[in-house]
Amino acid sequence: MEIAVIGSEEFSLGFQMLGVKRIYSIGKNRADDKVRELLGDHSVGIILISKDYQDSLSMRTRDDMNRTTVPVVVAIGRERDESLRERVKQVMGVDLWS
Amino acid sequence: MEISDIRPTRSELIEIKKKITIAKKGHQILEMKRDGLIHEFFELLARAQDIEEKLASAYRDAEDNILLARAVVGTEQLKTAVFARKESPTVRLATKNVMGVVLPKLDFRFHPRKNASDRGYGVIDTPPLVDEVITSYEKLLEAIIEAAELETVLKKLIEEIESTKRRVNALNYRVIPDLEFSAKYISMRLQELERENIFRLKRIKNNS
Repeated sequence: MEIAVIGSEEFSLGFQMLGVKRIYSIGKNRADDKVRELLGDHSVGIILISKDYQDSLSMRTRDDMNRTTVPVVVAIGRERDESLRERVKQVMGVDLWS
Repeated sequence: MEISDIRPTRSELIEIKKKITIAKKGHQILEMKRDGLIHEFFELLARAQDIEEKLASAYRDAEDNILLARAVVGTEQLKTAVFARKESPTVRLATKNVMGVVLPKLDFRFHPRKNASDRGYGVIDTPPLVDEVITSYEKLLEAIIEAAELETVLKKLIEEIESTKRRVNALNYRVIPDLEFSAKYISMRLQELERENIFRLKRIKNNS
């Protein structure tokens, strides 16, 4: 399964250097459609998205991202991703992160 | 269930009693499954927090390196490394089963970490900064795979915990009380019918 990268050109260049072929250097306004498209693509195993692009996605897409297990969506940024923490809080009823 | 839907017969009472036994057994098993999943989840939680931090730190390193390389050697020089790379890193998805939950296991098919000589570009005419960028991105990709696998496992476990909790609560607060109410109603109705029958027989006996 392939790795797909969604983000700015600066964000994706490093992954291009590793040989990742499915690079989508698109504007933030088109990121939502692209994520939805890739979530339904069975040849993609991991979707990497930059944190600032993830923040611009609609609530519905973010919710789908959190529930989907294949492909796995990983948001990367300088700070750690809080989506899993939020989901744990929602299900368990308490914040288990230390 | 509406009272009017309940047939006050002996066979219905036997049927409902059987359903109560099965529902109670199911409730007990689901409670055990929920506790087992929560136990598994807690074991992975601490590791997930470490990996998230490791991922963010690997990204910070990679980003700092690429920013420095862009400033020193320029974007064009970095792009030549893109064309030199022949193999594309792909992942393999295997599965494992934990208490009936199918959990994914991610693995590299083509490992991204290469020796400098296997990266496809000339070692002599390529600035060392490019090498450093690629090394830091290789480390980042390894951290991503680790985080992706663990995140998926946690997501699956959370989903399963949520649905098991919902089932346990439905059995505990809705299904079992409803069935017990039906059984109680039927046995009361049957006793009433029996009393009516005795009364009727006594009346017939007195009249004759």
